[in-house]
Amino acid sequence: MPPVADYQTAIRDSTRLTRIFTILSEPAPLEALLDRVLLALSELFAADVVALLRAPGAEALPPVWAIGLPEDPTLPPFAGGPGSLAAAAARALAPVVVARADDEPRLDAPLRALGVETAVFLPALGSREVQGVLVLGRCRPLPFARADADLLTAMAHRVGLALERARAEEERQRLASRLLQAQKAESLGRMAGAIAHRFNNLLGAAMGSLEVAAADLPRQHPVQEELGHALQAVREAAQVSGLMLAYLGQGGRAREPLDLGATCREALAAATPSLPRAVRLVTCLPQAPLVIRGDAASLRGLVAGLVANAWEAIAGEGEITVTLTTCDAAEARAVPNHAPDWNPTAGAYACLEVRDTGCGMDAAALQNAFDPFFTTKFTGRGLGLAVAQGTARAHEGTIAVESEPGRGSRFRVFLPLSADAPPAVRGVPAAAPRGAAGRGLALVVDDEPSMRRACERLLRKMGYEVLTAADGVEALALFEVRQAEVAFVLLDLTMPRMDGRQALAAIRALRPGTPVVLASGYDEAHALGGGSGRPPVFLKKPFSWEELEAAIARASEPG
Amino acid sequence: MEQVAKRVRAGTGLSGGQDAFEAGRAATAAALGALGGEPAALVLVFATPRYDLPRLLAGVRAAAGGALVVGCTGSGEIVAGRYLGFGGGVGVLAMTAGPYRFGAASAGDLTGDLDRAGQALARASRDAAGPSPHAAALLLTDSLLGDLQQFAQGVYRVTGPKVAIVGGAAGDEQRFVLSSVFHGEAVLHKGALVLWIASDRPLRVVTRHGWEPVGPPLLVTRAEGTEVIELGGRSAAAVYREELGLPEGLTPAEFWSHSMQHPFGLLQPDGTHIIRMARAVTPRDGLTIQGCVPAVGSAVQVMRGSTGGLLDVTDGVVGAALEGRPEASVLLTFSCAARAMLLGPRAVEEPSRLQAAAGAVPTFGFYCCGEFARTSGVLATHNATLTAVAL
Repeated sequence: MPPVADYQTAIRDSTRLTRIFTILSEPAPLEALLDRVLLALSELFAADVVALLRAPGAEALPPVWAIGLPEDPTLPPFAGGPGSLAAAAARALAPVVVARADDEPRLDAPLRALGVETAVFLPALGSREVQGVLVLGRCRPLPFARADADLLTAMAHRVGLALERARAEEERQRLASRLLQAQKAESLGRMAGAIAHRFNNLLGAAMGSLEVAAADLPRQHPVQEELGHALQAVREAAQVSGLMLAYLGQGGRAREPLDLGATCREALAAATPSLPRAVRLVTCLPQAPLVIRGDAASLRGLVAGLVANAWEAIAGEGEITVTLTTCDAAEARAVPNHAPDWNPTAGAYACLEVRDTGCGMDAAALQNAFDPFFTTKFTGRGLGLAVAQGTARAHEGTIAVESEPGRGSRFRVFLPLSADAPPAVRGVPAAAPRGAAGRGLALVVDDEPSMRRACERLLRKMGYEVLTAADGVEALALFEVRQAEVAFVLLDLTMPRMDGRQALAAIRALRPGTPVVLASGYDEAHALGGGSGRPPVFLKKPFSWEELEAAIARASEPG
Repeated sequence: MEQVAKRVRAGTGLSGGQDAFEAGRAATAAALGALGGEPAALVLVFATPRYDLPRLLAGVRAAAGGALVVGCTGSGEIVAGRYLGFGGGVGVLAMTAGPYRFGAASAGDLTGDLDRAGQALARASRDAAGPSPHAAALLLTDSLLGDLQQFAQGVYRVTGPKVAIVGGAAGDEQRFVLSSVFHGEAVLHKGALVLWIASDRPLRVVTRHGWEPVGPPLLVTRAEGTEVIELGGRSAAAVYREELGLPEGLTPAEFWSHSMQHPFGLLQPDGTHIIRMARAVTPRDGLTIQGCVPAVGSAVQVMRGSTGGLLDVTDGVVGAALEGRPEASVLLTFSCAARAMLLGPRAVEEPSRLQAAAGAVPTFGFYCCGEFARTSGVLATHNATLTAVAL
């Protein structure tokens, strides 16, 4: 370089620094800023290659941005391991100059492949830690002067600060976006719950009418078969509605202490017959009770769903391993890929693991695994994992998944352990024969006319006299007059003017101990939550003759 | 059996005929005559803008058959030692593929992001040529597109440093009104073309200019678009006038007559210079630079040249381009229209000296309004410079 007066060099350097600082301080997306900075560095320092690498740590460092790296998929990656030049610069917090490529075996393969003969590696230091490594390379034997390396170090620091700022802003935006998503999901959840409730009311009316029609006709009547098909369709429709509530974490009955090990055994016993012969099921479940508070039916569904998901991922021979252990909150929190909004607060957790040797999932599939209707299998699937996650969420738990293509998947369900005593084993009550055994006056309260009518007819068939009311206000007026005659109240939860809870409180105020069956299209936990005093018996809509009869019997038991 | 790479056969032709179709046909036929009956894979056409260009290209096509035809208008052509000056006619190079594969991509009416345009055309031409261990990208662009460095930079994003970038910006004999790029029989305005030359061997681009610095380094402290606004914190035109002892109030023509002889040299870390030509004084007393403005933070020096000095670089260009390339069959050269103007009556000497130095290897090219040759970093645009690549 021809002689340049010192002051001119100083002005030149400060002008170059100002140029880089000006670019970095302009409001623009990070990629645009980096592009302009790297182009300017290439031009000002005659560098054929300028690359900003991620902070060292991984063996291969992908460039965050680069100029002069051609679009060539065969180009090897930059090295980021402890022995790499990038790591050396990051450790020393100082530039590492490669004066002659031939003398430096650590020079990165992509630079060598491009014919780089001299290079400099610079730490892009943020306010606390190295954010990346800036690399400049020349394809000619003109080493970077010490003064240039020092100037570049200052520039790289500003790049590091800009990177740090941009990443913090990205994180802020990501969190804001997640909050917005959560708010949207909550709002959608409320809407879906209301739809499911309405749907269940209508199904209840249909089921009641069908039950009454079936009871009105002789058993051998040819229409009985058609009525049977219609009833079956209504029950299946109710299951679909139940899935929607389960995905929202609103499904299931009230949670009570249960042995998760026993629940898993029941679920696996039911699922085993449908497993393909080539799939081996290995279980490791503790004999000692592992108590959580939950809804056994929905938890059995969760286990069955995960096992079904596992065997569907296995083509040909394979193995599914189901293990149940415990862990503390810190261990649960540290598990990767659990639901982002899950924050474990309980002291200890049950960890149910379902691992398979199937095809596994790539990163994109993993990202969407719990989205409803996302599936890598055949059309019509896609609710299983979404519902399972909803069930876990309803139990204040989560499901975490790890998977790689060709290496199977590992699902882990974390559910808070309970200090409750293990439940006693209960027998299944035998079904009573249908008949007009009911005696007394029933008060049916429901704002849905079709549901009200169906219940009235059903109860009359059972032998009861029936009074009906369209809301709590009407019901209370009737009850005040005829409370002595009322054998029980069948009370809908969600009604205008005075809802089920308010009506229940008023009825109990007038006549404590009145048998009440509270019916709702929502789940039991949602319907009964927050109440006090003697709990009413809950009946999930839609319900059958037998279910209504059993509920009345339970409500009438001496309390 | 060891495969021997087939040698390129190349021939040149020219015509000064008035009828565009006939001139194109005759020049092409003459070039094809040197191929010994082998079909041409590539036909390069450089012509005066005074022709009816669609008819000129129809004439070329009539003779060239199915060969890939690319080219542009210029401000004089270089045809095997001959110099075709303004309005001189058309020069044609025809060559067989030999060890090369060619792919071309072009676009007209380019506005906006020239960087993206460069990337897109580089990718498309590369894909058309197919993969190869080495390559050159020959760029032909309209000189009136704007900041040509943006286009070259886009190409470089795709090529990286292993692919030679060379070429020139089309001109209209220094009128700066309308220049044209050719692709097949299409005449593109505000357009650009990338010819990808896939090769098994490295291809080297060479530049020399012959200018010398006359003043101290000056720091570019403010620049925008194609304008240098300030040098050392003062009005760029004022500093420039001061360096050369020029009076204020020069007409544009008077200024150009001086600035043509005193371009800026953009100082490189190895002490060499990349030439930038100041074409005009702007209303705010800045300087409009042809093709590409030096970045803020760059050091520039005012340069001077002499007829002898400018001509003396020809031997060096040819020697460096052909060094270690005994198989080379053609030397593509791109010189600057401003050089020809400075050389005046001696302009004919540059093509003849190029050919003399190249010996039996035919030389072919044109006088550009900005030359492309990536020499260091992303910079790939030059002014008043002689560039070459041997094939």
